[in-house]
Amino acid sequence: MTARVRSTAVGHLDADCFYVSAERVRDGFLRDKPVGVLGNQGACVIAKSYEMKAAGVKTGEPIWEALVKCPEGIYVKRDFRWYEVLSRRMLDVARELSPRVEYYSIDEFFFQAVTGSGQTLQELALAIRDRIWDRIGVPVTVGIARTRTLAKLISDAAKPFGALAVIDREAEEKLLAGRPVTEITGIAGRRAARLAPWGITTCLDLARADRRQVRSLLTATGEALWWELNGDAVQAIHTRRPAHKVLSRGGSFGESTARPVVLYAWLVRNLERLIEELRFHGVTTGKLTVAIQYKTGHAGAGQRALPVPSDRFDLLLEAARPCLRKAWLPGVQASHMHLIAEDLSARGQYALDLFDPPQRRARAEAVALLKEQVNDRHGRFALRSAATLHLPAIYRDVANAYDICDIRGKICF
Amino acid sequence: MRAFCNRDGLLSAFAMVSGVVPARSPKPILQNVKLIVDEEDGSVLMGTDLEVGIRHRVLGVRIEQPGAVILPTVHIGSILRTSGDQELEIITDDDHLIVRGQHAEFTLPIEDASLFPEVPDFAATSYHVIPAGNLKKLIRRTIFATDLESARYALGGVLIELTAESIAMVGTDGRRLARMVATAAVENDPPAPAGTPVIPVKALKLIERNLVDDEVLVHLAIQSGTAVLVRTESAVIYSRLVEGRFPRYQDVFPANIEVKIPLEAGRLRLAVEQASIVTSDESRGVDFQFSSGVLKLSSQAADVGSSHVDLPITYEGKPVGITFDPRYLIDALKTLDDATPVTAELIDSKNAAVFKTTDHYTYVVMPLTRER
Repeated sequence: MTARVRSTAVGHLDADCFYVSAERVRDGFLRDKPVGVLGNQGACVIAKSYEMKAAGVKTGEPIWEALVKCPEGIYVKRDFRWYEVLSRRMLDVARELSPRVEYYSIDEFFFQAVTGSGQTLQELALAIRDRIWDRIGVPVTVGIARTRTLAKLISDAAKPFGALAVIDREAEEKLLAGRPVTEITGIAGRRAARLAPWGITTCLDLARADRRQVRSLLTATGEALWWELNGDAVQAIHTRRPAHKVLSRGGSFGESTARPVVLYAWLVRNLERLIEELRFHGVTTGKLTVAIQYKTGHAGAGQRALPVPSDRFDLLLEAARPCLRKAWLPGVQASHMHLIAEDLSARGQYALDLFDPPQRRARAEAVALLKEQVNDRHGRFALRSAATLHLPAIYRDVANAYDICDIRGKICF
Repeated sequence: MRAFCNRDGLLSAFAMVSGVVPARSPKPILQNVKLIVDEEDGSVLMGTDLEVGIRHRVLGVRIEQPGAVILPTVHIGSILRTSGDQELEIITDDDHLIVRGQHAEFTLPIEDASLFPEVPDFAATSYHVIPAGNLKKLIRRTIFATDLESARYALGGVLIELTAESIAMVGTDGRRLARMVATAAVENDPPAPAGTPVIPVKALKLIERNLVDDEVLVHLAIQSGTAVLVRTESAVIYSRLVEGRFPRYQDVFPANIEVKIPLEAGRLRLAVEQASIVTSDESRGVDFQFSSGVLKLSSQAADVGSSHVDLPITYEGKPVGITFDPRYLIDALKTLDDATPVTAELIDSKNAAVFKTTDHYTYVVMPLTRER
């Protein structure tokens, strides 16, 4: 199983219940206890320890239901800044042991598995797992295989705190036979339903299916998975994130609202966060969308094109206001809002707006620069629009100052 | 109703009218066209999406029994295009519409013709008169600069300015502005329209398609500040005006022009097209370096390459450099004949540039800048 015949392969590293493990790194008291990490405004369990999972608590479950199932559990609020610190330390360790590492998500990396002299792939998997544990204290599982898809299936099978390299076909097939096809990233309910009538229910069924049939059922994406399951690596390791086509900021309000002034405050908050992101990536947006979800299940959206691609607060707010009006359902409790920037273009060259007076432009750019400098020096949101004063609780709670989407450079959310 | 229609006559009217018909509409009857056959008033085919409407004369109709009928656009279009007959008979009874040729017959469901919304006819007694060629030029040289998605201003159409001697049109998308003035006359001293009448792009395209003979005089009237009516040789086109405010465009023309450079439209267009071959989404600009005797165009884009194009010019003055998005220049230059003399009026690399022709066409374009 841990053959020496192949010196390079693809590895997948996945932290075990990462948020909980990260909390345990800074607070040893939490070790071996049922721990739940709560999301926005402490409403839902977004991660749980294996002990809490054993008590029946599911990810996404509201806190009040989790408390019934696991009253002895310890519930802590998420701290994405801390998780990012640990995530990047893990990334550094992975880079020590591999020349090519993909920062796939905050707790998952793909890497090129290159063995040292006389080292087997199994030994490499163990070495990475143990070095991260020794240096950082986060338990991870490492899977190594001929392709990304196989490596991820292997690490999933080896959890928790596993390290497993599977290279020969016989061992691969044994593993694939025992895994449902839905465990493959990219195959969920609808795609699985398309495969089921053809008797394809396990990963091995998919690997042994006719390639052309897989393509006709699952398009080129499915065919790529077929190649990968059969040991032909067609999905590359991306050491840098490809340029964004869309940038978005927003999320749950925590407490739903129907108050226009609060909705407007959220619009401005999300816009300020979106502008930070546009400026970080050095892009401007030519199209802005405001999307709102309501407690009733309804959704509303408004979209505006900008006369000239921009990252300026005044111009984007001017475009966002009518979008909010269009997305707004008066009197209905809104639960989520997202601002989506499309038609991104590099900030380097841009045409000025004929109807944007130079004085207004200069003033807006000076304010933007000042805001950026103050916030760089004194902390995020130290200087912000007065419209956001209608969200005092959000700004009072430091847990809201940093979100998962603020962790940059990862490929996946 | 019973009429014998010359296929070519009906097909040519149908081609004009069907362009207005919406593919989908909450009012399904709008997905059809209406044919009225009448000995006295002549035969008319009409279509509308309630924003824009057209009444087009149908030539070569022999009427047995006058009346009106709703023609389903998709089916009638196919019948007219595939028929080899010179003449098609159109008959209606209580339940059916029958289209009959020499060797083919089509029976289609019938709809109540009275439910089709009325498309306004040209009833104005005072209006502007302009040769079709001039109106066509006004539209072609301004329509490309509009912005259908603008939320801030009413830029989804072309502003029309009427005086007793002229008609001017202005189109802008906020980055460039095209203005053209053409000679016109008036009939019965039409009142000046209130506000800033902006004709939507869809209507302008329809009007332009209907301007066949450049010499024919076309009548144009603004109705109550809310709609425009244009009467051509064979059609009346109606359109609601774009709602909203057109920006005060007069302010964008730069004062204190520093240099005036004579150019020729066709040669300039070719040079800009060549220079723009090596641009990318990230680096779209083409640098223009005007100096004595030569315009040097250059562009550079990472991963694509670079280009250098020289265009001899008859300019003897101080050097001026400016960067443009080449698409903005090409759009305007395409509307001009190759031999048209163009004067570029520039200040520097940061201010709007103005391109003018001797036939009262002005094109203002903002340069690209790297400042931030």
